[in-house]
Amino acid sequence: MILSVLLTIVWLLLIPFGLGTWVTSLFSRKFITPGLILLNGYLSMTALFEVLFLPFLKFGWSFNALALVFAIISGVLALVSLIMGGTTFSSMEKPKFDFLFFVFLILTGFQIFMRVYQKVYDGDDAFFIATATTSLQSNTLFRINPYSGYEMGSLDVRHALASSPVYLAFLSKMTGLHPLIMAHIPYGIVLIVIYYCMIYSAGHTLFDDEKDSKYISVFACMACVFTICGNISSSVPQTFMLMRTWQGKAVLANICIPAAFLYLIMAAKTVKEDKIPLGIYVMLGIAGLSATAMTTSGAVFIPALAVGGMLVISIVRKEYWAILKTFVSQIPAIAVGVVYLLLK
Amino acid sequence: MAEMFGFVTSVFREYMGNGLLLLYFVVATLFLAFKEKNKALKWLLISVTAADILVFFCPLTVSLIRDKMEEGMVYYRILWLLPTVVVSVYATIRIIDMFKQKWLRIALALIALVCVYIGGNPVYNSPLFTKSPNAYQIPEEVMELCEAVEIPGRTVRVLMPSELIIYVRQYSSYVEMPYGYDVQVEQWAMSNPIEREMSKDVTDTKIITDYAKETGSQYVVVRKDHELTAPVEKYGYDCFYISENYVVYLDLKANMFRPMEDDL
Repeated sequence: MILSVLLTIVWLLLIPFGLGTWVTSLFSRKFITPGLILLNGYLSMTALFEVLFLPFLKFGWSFNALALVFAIISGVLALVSLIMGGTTFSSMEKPKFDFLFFVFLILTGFQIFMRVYQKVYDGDDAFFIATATTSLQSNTLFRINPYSGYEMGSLDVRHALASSPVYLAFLSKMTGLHPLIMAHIPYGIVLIVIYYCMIYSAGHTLFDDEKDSKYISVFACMACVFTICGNISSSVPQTFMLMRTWQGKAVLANICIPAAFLYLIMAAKTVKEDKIPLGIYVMLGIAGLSATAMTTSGAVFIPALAVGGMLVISIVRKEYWAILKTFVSQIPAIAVGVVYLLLK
Repeated sequence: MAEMFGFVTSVFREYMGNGLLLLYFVVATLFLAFKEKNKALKWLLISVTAADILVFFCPLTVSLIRDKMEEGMVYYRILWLLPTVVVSVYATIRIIDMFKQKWLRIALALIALVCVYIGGNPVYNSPLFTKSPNAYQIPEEVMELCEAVEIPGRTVRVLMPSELIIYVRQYSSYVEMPYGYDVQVEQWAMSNPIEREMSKDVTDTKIITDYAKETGSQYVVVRKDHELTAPVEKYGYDCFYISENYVVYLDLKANMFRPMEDDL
């Protein structure tokens, strides 16, 4: 049990944090927070998993082999990134520990408590978690129908290109926790934490003036209330966030898309005299690839948002090369979309 | 064209619920369109919102996504690109910031939160949430039944009652089922006659046992209080395991050592 807890901390927090360190060092100093490092690291880890997953899927290699290769590569890259981006820690800004910051922590803690205390009835788990359990227990990748257990005659293209259920299986394998426990408790908790890291980073970016910094915690607290009260229908991101936190589509709607939007806000808030930092293009590309790992429709959403958003920013800032750089960053995500269309 | 417009408006109406939070977002976007000082940020917020709404209502998008790609069921996802939370909160704080008095700022923030509470719907009010019985967050009995029928290193095939099939393979991939949760999803139209038979108030034992044998299912699980036309034992089964609410029957002539996929 203690070993599982330690391994969970390693694979859900330390490795993503390590992976995010170097890429975050490519951002402007004023945007860097510990939460941004974790967000960037999580997106990098899922994007890397997708890149390795696709050839394993194509050649029918086993889940265990994928898990071993990914564990080694992500572990080594996290270490290298930590060494190369070590200076990020000295330049990052620590959260403002005012009264409302603690209210924000309490509100986040409440959502984490509810994630653990309550279960939710959701039919999509019969696919998502069953796929993770099947990958883990049968050592295969999308060869077995998760609903029935029968071998599939052909590849289920609509779902098979998105590696998020297999990523859940990977986390289970590394920690020894059953996919049901991993999805509902540690992974669900960490995704809520990453979501609020992103919200805090958005507040930190939007209120970047010294005189406005008092509003960062207000922003974070209000965003908590908007998220909790946002269940206006079953299709909105907020409902997905707190009801089906672990599912790929929930991560797409609540982490990948808002993260891409956050990077665009950072581009817009970059000082006029400076060029848009390289890290923003890199992370837009990684967010695109991570989105395809969550659900294949991510291959359309992030490229459209990134290129469209950057088009406007580059015109206003008269920094026209930014459009081309953003387009180049989206090529991997677009490529996954093209593969999907060719296979469909 | 009218049919397409009807489709998008119905998706939009369903997505926005009572519409109050979306109205809040629209007002927030309009406020920032006039008051945001950072031009790049202002145009980013306006253009993403406007472009997303245009793309959503565009007949070409409907034709491409719903008709050509047959993804009409997830058409609402286009609206996920609307930055509702960030824009609504940011504009609210910018409005609050326009006032100098501290008490007025606090009052405005509280009014905004009350509006959100009234216009929104707290997610934890959903009837889909219930107290979790264990760390797996599935019914205990599903795990008990799976463990009862599992044979180490082998897969088994089990005819499960309708209410359990959603959970079984989330817990154990060693338990196969002749039909899965997919047959229960109305929109997918994959309905299975045996699953319907299992869901009836009175189930025909011969139909389900014949089907179980035909599909190589070694076990049939029936709810204790479920009414059957005849005892399952009459068709070559024996009671194998009894849990609080279910009885597991074993086909006495079943092949218990069907190899796993890897051995095939």
